[in-house]
Amino acid sequence: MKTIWITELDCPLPAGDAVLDLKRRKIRPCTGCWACWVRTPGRCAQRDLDDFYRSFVNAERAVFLPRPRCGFVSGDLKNLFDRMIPLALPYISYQTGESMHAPRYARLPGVEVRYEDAFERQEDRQLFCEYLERVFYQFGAPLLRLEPIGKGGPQG
Amino acid sequence: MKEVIVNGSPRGRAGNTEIFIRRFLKGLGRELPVRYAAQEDAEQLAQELQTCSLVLLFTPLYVHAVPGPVQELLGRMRPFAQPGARMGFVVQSGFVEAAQSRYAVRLLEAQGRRLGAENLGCAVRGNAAGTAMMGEKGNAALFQLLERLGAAFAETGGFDPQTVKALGTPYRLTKRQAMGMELLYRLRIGRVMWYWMLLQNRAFRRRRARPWLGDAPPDSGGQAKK
Repeated sequence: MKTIWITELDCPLPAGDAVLDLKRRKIRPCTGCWACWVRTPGRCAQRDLDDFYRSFVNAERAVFLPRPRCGFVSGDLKNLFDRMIPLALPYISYQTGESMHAPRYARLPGVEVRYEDAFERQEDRQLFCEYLERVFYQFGAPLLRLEPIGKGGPQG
Repeated sequence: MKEVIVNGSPRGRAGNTEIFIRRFLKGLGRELPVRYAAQEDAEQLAQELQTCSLVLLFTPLYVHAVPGPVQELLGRMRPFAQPGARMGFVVQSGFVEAAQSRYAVRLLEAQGRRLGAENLGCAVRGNAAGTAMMGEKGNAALFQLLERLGAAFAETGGFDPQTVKALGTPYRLTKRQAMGMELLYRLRIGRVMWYWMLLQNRAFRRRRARPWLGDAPPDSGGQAKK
């Protein structure tokens, strides 16, 4: 299965799969320029994530391995989410009864999230999980799995 | 005793968030220093904010929460140095309904608690993407509310609940509203602003482009063709 790993954790990953290692690669923040919607549709004006977009869009599975910080996603992972808006169209549909971006791609990979469970409070864990559910719902990428990473590691 | 406004927008002084701040300050009747989260060193700014007695964070909604640089700043902030420090939040988003910001509200309130701040509340405003384009007349109702929020803050030191409620209306769309807006979307009327910008940029024909589908050409170095 064609898989992309997006990781903030130190753990071995399968050779041959695409990997975006947020510990080693600094993701530039979204500048809010909307070029990806109105100038170069589908492409971010910053070109540093082109390889990620291609791997993500063509993958069957995307596995996120986040390390929460202060009870929420890290600034690095948040920068990546902000930079994923080229995967959606700017138009808003209301078919579900609320505002939802129309999808740019007919299909995005199924998402699995295996997070490091270092939360001090249950309410932080709950917000973290509900937030991730919302993010992938908004992007139109089906969330297949959302759970703490076990002793078996990311492939356990 | 330091009182500071933080602008969380990556667009800094050029964005809608700055307009929100200026209107709030107009109502407040005095200037407060404004810091720019996306343009400053997060660690240094976090340390400076730790010594403040009041931090008002104005931020756009990015992917249902605060923009990455604001998240980075929050992650670096440590509990306030002095007891009684206060934090208030204003979130503006492009989505029509304020409920789209509910995760951001929960996040900001949780961060305020973590930092030991008294929470002054979180005002949310939807349908604000076009603020910079709509001018004084088109924004009259919004500006009135923001100035009222500032004026009430000057009087009470907190956010006026009635003004917060008015800013955050509608919280959710009624079924009838959603059906009407879906009809406008399907008739393309709801896309006019985007079509206009795409035309201005000569990008209209490429509006539904899916540039990353398929493998990269072998001689492209991983880059797709333009």
